[in-house]
Amino acid sequence: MERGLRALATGLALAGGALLVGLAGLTVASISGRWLASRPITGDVELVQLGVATAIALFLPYCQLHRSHLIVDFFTARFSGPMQRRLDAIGSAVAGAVFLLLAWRAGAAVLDMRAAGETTMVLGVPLWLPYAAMVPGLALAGVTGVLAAVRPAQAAGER
Amino acid sequence: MIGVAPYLLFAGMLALMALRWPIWTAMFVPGAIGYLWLSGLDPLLASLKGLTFARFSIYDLAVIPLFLLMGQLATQGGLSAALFRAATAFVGHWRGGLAQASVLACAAFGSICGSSVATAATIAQVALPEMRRYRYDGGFATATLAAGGTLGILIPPSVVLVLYAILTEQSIAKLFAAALVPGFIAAVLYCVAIAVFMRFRPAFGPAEPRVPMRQRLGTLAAVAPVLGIFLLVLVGIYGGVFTATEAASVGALATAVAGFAAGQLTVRRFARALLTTAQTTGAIFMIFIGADLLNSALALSQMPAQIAGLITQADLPPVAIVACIMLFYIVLGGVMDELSMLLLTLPVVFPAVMQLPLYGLGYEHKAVWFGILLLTVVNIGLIAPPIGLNVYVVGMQARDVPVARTYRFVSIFLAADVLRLVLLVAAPILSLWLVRFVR
Repeated sequence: MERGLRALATGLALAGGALLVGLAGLTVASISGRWLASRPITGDVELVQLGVATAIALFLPYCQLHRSHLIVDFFTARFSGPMQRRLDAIGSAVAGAVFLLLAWRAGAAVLDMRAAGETTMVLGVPLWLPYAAMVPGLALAGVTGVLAAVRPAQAAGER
Repeated sequence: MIGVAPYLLFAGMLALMALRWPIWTAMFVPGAIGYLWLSGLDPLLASLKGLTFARFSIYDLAVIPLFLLMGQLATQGGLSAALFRAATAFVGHWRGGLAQASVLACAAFGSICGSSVATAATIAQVALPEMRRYRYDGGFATATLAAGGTLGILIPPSVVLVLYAILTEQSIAKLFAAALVPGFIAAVLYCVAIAVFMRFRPAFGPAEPRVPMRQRLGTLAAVAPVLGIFLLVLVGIYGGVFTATEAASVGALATAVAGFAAGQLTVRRFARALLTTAQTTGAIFMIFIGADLLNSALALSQMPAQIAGLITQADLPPVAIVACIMLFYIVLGGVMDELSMLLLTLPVVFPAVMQLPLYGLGYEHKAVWFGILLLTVVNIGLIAPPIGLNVYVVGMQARDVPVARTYRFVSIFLAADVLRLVLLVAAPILSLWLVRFVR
């Protein structure tokens, strides 16, 4: 289970990273088009917005898995190792719960957007699509956080 | 009732942070509770629907992952090692020369990297082993790198300035232009601080053998791509050729190409760059989410108006008020991370400061100048005790050096920072001089 989760989170993060590089490429192509032929790619800004949002959501499980979220450890530096791990388990549980809450709300937004039939301004992309792209990353980050809280020993080696 | 609520939320946030909750959750949970309290469950659930996508899809914020990617590609592509080698060849034979070379390498790396933590960690990887080999004092070496790392955000591109630009609706290009001279002053003052310190404690930083001029010039070839990318990105932004997001895209791709061309960037290292970018980006954007919710809860209360009133009606000369605000930020930066600090305070502090008459500056110049001042206090917060993020980042690479020892030597650089802050407050021209050249 943990191994599968790890592989999935890493895969999603790499996919998000590749998407980011792709968007950089798209932007450069659009600049070149604008310069050389005064023809930028239509909707490049919109694609960057939707793409970057998707990429960031895909980063979240990996980020949670490796505990990359900033914490303040100054006040608890003197605490014993087990005590620190207990506090970290609480922190992971809370983060996991909030991620799940956000995933649920993004899912609700998908339904709203579908019902309202809203689309983006330039390309007419249905808006529920990018909202739906938030859900897997948020949900998996939530599961990762909750699991790390239940099995803190497993995650202790990660940093 | 409403009068105390926001202060309780703020205190709750600090308490949760102290208990090792991830900082974004320490803002999110009190934010959610405050929202619930002040306007009820249904409005809270409704506002959470759009929160994630709305924040992740802001076009101007896309520069943050792109600049982070650019910095990571430069790290993995071995550019940091080339920079340090070149800097060492030129100044390594001075007493404390390796420390000065580290500062210069940080400054150069900062010109293509927008994050101070990444700059400190990257240059430390190459500079720390070298300084240890030449028997530099451990704490002096780590302090130099922690302080030098702050040049990553002082010299554009800069994640902090991007954030400030978006929060205050100012031009990223103008802020980047304004940061150049202060960034240069910072690097020079750090080198001067090292030289002065060496007069008193020469044994802490022994000199390296002198490198012949021909060899020195030879090291510059490997550094050329960095200079090229820096010029491409900044001239593009300043000249109005690209938006900041476009410039970051160009810079990231150019850095990847330079890394692959130099044979340093492999597929494996490229993947590593993507994953590290994922980690930092995820961490930063979740801080945005947490701060967003806490801010909207605070905005429902009277607290922002109260504090703004306190600032604008204070019975002090305007410059003294600005100095007090800087002091407040330095203290707050001691217990909070700098990003959350700016996100939570700027919506209140910025409009208030803009109402103060300051040296007869116009709105835009005042906004740009204040941004550069904030950048300086953020930089102080990154190295000052008790929570200097950079000190910890460098410390991870030198586990035998106690943090307290690093802090002792950090004071040398803090003195330089305070001097620079005083200069920048007293002479806005230092920040504003280059702004007029931006299209």
